[in-house]
Amino acid sequence: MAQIKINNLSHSYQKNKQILKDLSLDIHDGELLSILGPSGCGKTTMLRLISGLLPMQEGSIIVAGGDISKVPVYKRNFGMVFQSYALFPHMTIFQNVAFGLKRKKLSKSEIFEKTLSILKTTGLLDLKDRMPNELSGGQQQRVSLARALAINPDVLLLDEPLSNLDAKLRIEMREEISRLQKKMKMTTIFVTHDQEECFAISDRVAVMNHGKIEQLDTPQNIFRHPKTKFVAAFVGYENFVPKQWAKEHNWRYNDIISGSQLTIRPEKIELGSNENILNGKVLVKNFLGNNYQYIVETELGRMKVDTQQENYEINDDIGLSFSEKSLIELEDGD
Amino acid sequence: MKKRAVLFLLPGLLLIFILLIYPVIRMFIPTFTGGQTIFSNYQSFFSSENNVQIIFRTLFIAVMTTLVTLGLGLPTAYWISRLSGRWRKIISIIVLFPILTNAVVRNFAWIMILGKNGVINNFLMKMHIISSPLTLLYTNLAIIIGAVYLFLPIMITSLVSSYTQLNSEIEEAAEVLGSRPIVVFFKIIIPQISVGIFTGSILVFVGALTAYTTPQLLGGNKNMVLATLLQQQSITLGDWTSASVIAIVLTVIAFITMIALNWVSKVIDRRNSHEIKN
Ligand SMILES: Nc1ncnc2c1ncn2[C@@H]1O[C@H](COP(=O)(O)OP(=O)(O)O)[C@@H](O)[C@H]1O
Ligand SMILES: [Mg+2]
Repeated sequence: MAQIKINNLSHSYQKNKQILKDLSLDIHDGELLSILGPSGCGKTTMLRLISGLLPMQEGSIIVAGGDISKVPVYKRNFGMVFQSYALFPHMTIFQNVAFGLKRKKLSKSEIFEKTLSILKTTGLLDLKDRMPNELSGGQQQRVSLARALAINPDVLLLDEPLSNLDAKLRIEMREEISRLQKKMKMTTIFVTHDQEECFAISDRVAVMNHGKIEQLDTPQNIFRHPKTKFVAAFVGYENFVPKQWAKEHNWRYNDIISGSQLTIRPEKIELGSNENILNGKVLVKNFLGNNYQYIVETELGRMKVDTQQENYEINDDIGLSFSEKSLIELEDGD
Repeated sequence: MKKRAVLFLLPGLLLIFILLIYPVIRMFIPTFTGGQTIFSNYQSFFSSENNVQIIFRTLFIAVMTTLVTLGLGLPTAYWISRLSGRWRKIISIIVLFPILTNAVVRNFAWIMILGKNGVINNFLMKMHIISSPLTLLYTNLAIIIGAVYLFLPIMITSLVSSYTQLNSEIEEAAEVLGSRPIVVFFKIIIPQISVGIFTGSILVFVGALTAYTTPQLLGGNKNMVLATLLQQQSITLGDWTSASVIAIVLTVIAFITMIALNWVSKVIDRRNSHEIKN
């Protein structure tokens, strides 16, 4: 519905403690963009600034060409889904979903029609006369989503909407969000700290750390070519090697980037082949279902290895090998 | 086991019976005896125009006190509940402070303020806004002012405890959905604190209904209420049957109000009528 341009956004709650630092970000019309970052990095702060719930201190936000920095929350026509669902506990599901439409001075029959239609789309029709405290967590989340979508918002903001659900429901709901978002072609910002869930549904992902965007790209590119150590660690690269060390030991890697670190995923490392690159001793062996994870003490420190091989035990001396193509160069973060 | 448990309860139950139930029964019975029909005492009480006027005045004062404390308490308590932890504690103690002083002292303060030579009249005369002192003391207004002052802390305390249970994200959700702050207040906040409104209103209403010191000191003899009438009937005139009738009328009014308010708060907030089913 709308393109969003976030320009030089900064925010601090207390003096000398900046939470967001000169953050700029463009979100394309109709795209689902995820903000991925650890707890406390400023994701909620950013979403609250966009929604207007938090007054802006520095920077500007442009939606569909218009500066909304000074538009009050209730005039922005955004949809927001909160981590706590935030359903109105004294209203039925129907009333919850109709609430936003009622604020729009539509005719009674129009409100009724639109509410019914969104309840139908979200599969909530049977629950329309229940009270929120009579629903399960997953159902409440669905209502929260339906309520936000009912007003046909210009932008949909989702703040860790799945974090209170169990694993199975989480997958179900994220697919539901993805389905509705595509169907309504709604510009969506999805905040999460879960790498898997955000890769599954996002068009693009912005990885955030300490109030800054470290990398903005498609899920595939972020997964295959993380830019910094922080991004790499966040998307499952567990092993880091100083470039200097690799150079001294004649490892062959692309030397294009000026950073000082290399990284490799645990599943790219093999154990006990003939051309060992690194020697070590098994410290820990864990069964993870699909594979085993070994933690191996080497002269580079502890390396994590995910492999199908199961015939190694704790204290075994083993060699690590990997294709040098799997080594990824990282930029130095700041 | 069960029989033993009853044995343990016996002393307590006995105490409650002797000190609470028995006196109430003893108060009840005489009001239905001694006349031609069982309601004779009530008929004669209600047939006095003066008594009916006193009932209406009492109700008027109690209702006004409740409404004014509610009107003042709703915004004040909201503000208090949104303060940070330390400030909330400090302000809450300040709010409760008047309760710690003696009721007679507090009412005398109002006599000093509202009297013919009181603070208000002195000020208005000095400013030449009025030429002769206003009659503020010994009016219904004086009683209401005194009662509001007396009961406001109770109303605020019961509202603050309701407000602090609110999840502020719910209000924010309403705002994002297009509600101005005033709509958020009436459509989202008020229904959620209906229990606090109900509790506070009952406490204030019953308190104002039965208050004795305040109407006695600020209302004078012209503006009697049921409590002062009761005192007059019992202590001054020694007519304990009439006094009992008044006591029972007071009890019935309080009871009816409680049921009515409870019903209203359930209508406002349907959560209370819906039990959790699954
Ligand atoms: N109202 C607030 N007052 C002061 N500090 C806050 C407030 N809200 C959040 N913070 C701080 O700002 C930082 C970022 O918080 P938040 O945006 O909620 O992070 P996230 O949503 O990524 O977990 C945290 O360090 C948090 O403690
Ligand atoms: Mg958060």
